[in-house]
Amino acid sequence: MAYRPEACCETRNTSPAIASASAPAAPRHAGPFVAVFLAVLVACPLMAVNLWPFSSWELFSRLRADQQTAWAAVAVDPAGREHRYPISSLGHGYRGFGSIVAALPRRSPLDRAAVCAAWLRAAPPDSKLVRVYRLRWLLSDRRHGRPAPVHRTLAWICSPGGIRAAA
Amino acid sequence: MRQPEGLLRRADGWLFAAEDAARLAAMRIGLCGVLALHLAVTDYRVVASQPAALFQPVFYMKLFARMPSAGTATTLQIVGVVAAVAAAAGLALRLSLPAALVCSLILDGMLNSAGRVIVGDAVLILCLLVVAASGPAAGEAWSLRRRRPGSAVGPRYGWPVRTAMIAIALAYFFAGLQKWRHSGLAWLTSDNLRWILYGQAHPGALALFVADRPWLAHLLAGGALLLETTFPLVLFLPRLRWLFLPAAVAMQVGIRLTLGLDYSAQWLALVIVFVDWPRAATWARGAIVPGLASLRRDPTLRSR
Repeated sequence: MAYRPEACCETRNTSPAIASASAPAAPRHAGPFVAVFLAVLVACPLMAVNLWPFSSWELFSRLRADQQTAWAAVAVDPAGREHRYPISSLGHGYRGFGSIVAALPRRSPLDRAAVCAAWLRAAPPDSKLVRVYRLRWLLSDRRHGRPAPVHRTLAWICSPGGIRAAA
Repeated sequence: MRQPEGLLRRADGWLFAAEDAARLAAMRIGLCGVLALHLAVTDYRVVASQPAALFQPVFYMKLFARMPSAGTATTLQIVGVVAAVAAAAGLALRLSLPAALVCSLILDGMLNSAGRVIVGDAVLILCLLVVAASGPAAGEAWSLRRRRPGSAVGPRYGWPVRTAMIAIALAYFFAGLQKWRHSGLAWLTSDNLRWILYGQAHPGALALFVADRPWLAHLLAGGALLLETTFPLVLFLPRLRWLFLPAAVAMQVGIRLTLGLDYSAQWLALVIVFVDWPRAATWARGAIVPGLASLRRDPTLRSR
């Protein structure tokens, strides 16, 4: 039986006359465009490269563990008291806080100082320094429908003099 | 040797099969409309004027030394919305669609350069790239500028529709494939989905409802994985679209309700590209107009 693409794959009924020479043909660039477009679309996920909008489609593909890790910043006033500093929910692009903290060890001292200066600028008024804590908790450990207490470890201390890793 | 050649010929025949100009026009109107709405309602100022040290550019945003300013974002938003509306209307398509795409790429690039890449808009942009590549063909029906007597049919209008279909099908397929690749069967047999739901900063009631019931979490994870992995079947078995399209929309609305991630641009693109709108319009006219005519003819109704 002869192959009829419209019968095989599409719901539209196109008469053979339509496919005649009088029907508007695809432009010359269509074939090469489709080939390159689909090649990039397939290559990016296979090579785990994210060339947005040619995504690698890896979101949520890796298993989550019971142990959860996150980062939190607190502002410290001149008296040494800690204050809430919801840096991730600030405007002006501070929401990538977690990924920036995670990448800090790989950045140059100059870059780290610039990041620290940006955090200090956005901190509540009269903040002397910003402390960055690593938070850990078990997702399975839920008490009366609420998550278990979080264990926090001081990771970075950011002051006007620069940023340093906590001992 | 003949078999691969035959397969290639079949694929080529399918991809470049004839299509109604109105089908491509419907795709243009729908996708450009979604883009215009998306550009109009998204707040890009949340990332504008970000300090240079915090700028984490995606590859093409490296053209910028730092995050564009709020003023630039607003200008791009206005130009992008106007251009997308003009493209939806079929006006100056060679200029309006590329302009809307460039504005959108920069604005989405801004959001994606703040530490987290947002996948939800990628499918819409991919489909619009295909419409842009189709050139003036996308504006030859249902356009304010050109009005043809009757609708043209030919391969000129078919390949963009089918290429967009493939792009969407591959997006779902690779999302599933990556789960198999990185996690395997454990993606659905482990407590993975429960940890995703519990792990949010502020999980909502629906997220907790699912996470608190392991059997439900496994069921939804299995359903999502099955749907994504088998999604390309809709290309070859059109009847499956009646099942897969509502399922994909339900999955992404569910993700919005439980995880707060907005995939509306993706599922709207899916519906716009896969539904045969000219045929749906013809069906609606056939179903509604005779109904209205019979209402007019009904003497009992006329006397009221």
